[in-house]
Amino acid sequence: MLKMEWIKFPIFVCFHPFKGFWELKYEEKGRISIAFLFLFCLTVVAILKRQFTGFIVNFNNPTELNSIAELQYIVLPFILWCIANWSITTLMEGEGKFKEIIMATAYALVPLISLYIISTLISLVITWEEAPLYFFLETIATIWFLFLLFIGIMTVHQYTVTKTVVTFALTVIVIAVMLFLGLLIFSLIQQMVSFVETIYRELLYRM
Amino acid sequence: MVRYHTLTRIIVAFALFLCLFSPIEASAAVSYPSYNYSYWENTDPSPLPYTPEKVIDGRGTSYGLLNSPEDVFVSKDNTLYIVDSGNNRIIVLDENYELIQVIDTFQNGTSTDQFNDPKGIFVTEEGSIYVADTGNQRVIELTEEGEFIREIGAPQSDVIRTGFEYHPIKIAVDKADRIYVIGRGVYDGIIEFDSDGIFTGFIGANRVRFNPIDYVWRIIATEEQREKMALFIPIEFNNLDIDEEGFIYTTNAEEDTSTPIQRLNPTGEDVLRKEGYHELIGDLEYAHTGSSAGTSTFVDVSINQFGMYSALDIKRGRVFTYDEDGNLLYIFGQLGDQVGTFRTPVAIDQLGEDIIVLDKGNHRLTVFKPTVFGSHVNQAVHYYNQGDDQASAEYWKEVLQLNANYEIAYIGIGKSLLMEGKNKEAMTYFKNGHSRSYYSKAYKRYRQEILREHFGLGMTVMVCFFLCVASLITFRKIKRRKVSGVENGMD
Repeated sequence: MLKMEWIKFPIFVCFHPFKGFWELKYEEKGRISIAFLFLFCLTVVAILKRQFTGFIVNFNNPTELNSIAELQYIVLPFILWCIANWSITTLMEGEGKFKEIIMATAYALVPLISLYIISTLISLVITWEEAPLYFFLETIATIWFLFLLFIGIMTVHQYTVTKTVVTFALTVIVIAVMLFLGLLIFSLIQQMVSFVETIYRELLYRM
Repeated sequence: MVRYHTLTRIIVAFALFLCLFSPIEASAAVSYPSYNYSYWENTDPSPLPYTPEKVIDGRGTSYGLLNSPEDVFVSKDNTLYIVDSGNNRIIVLDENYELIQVIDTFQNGTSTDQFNDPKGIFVTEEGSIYVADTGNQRVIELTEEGEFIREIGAPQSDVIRTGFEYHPIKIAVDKADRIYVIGRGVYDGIIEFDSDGIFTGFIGANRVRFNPIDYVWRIIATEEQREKMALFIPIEFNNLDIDEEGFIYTTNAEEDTSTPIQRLNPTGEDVLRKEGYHELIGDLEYAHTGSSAGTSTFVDVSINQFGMYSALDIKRGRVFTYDEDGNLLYIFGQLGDQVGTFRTPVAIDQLGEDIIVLDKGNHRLTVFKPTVFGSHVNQAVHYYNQGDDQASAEYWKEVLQLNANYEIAYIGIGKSLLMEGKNKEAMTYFKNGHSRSYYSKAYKRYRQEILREHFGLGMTVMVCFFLCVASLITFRKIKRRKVSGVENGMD
């Protein structure tokens, strides 16, 4: 009985986001394990979508597909988003906990997962003239996801609309800063490693 | 082990010996590898499409060495005209490259006249020779025998801007005897004269292109700085050719343009078909620094009767041949000093299936013959152009035997299969040829086929499904009623 509820609640959230996210936060209906399951599902679906979308709307070079690389388009942005949003909202009197941010974001992924599956299946049986249907579904999925994410973050932190918009913009900026710092650290470590390596080699040659 | 080694050596030596005396001519070998661009813009190795057959530089002939020749033209009856600019003369050869005549002087009125650094030539179907006599700033019309007919001077009109200088370099004449002249430094477009030699206007002026950063600098700059900056002027054309239908093909030497080759309709609009995989810009991959950096720089274009056209890139000495839809068919040529390479290639034309490239820097003309591969591609395009998909597909199959990476061939075969109604197979070929539009067509028919075939089964399944659902719902309702009945009874 409990298991049925796990599936039913996310679907309820999709169609009744205001009530749904409220219940997610205050009635503790959301589950972190389900959230990670959704993230995993989206990754798998995205990988399958890249590979198996019908030829007519599939513009990927099959020789360049890499499932591992797919992680960086889904899992990495997800983690960055959650961390950045948490960092910003703790400073901006947001009521959401880190766990709730993860859940809200992950539950918003549900339309992406389901519509991607549908659009991938449809893409296998359409002609070029019917391709707008495919692209329409893709667009719907994205808009729905963004809408849910917006409502989710707003509800979880108990923000007004304007404050949510500002937080969104700030979150994006924080993500950019984090990426920049990350790259900086990577390149510094690289320099250090190569420095140590050079010294080691030099010593080897001289001894 | 040692014996084995010796044996191998003997075999290799024998093979080399055979090669030495094999009937394959030396001309078949060129000093560069051949390539073509795949759908994914990779440079894939390809068989050579053309190999050098003959070099004509005037050595050991009665007319003597060529000196900085600027243009070559092949007339409808396969007579070859070389503009030997350095020697101020025109050399006329027959299709076996034997001398017919040399035109260096002609009787203009009472005096004997001659060319001064001529750079362009065009011969009409009737045999009139038009020469762009650059140094004398005029166009000369001669008869087939080289007798003077008339001269056409600089264009006279109110629309001509001040400071306009007239140095005709290239010329073409259409079937109505309208004369199209390209002038050096003329960015107004192609200069058009009517059949009487009266200036009628400019056509096909290239649009001004500037990049936004330049524009920002220009706004910030002071008056003096602005004056020192380069002007935003349209790029000038550098060559032209006329096809059977009277459309003018032109080239220009602009960097980073997406339209270095244009096909102008009578109103001067570019109507070149671009149905191929990529933009028609010659090389897609190129160095961004170094001596020959940047996009291909086309200096001449030549059209054959099947809608194919070859454009000559002076920067890297390459010839790019496209079909009428804009598919890149093959690439050959390179800068260098060996036979089959060029120093400063300036003009290209076709004699039958042969491609002729004039090299100003090396003072010579190179005749290229198609290889088996090149010839099959030509034939396939030829038949396709004539609407014979079947014959075209046969040649495309031959092409695939020689180069399985030749993606356009798959489309060609697919089209023929589609005509035959083999939709499923056609789909596979279109997929290999990356043609989404044709794949879609084939798939549409295939889907219809399947639906028609399995209509009965599909309907049965659907009816069964609905019946099942309906019965399930009624069953539940009955059950519920019973339950509630029981509950009521309990009460």
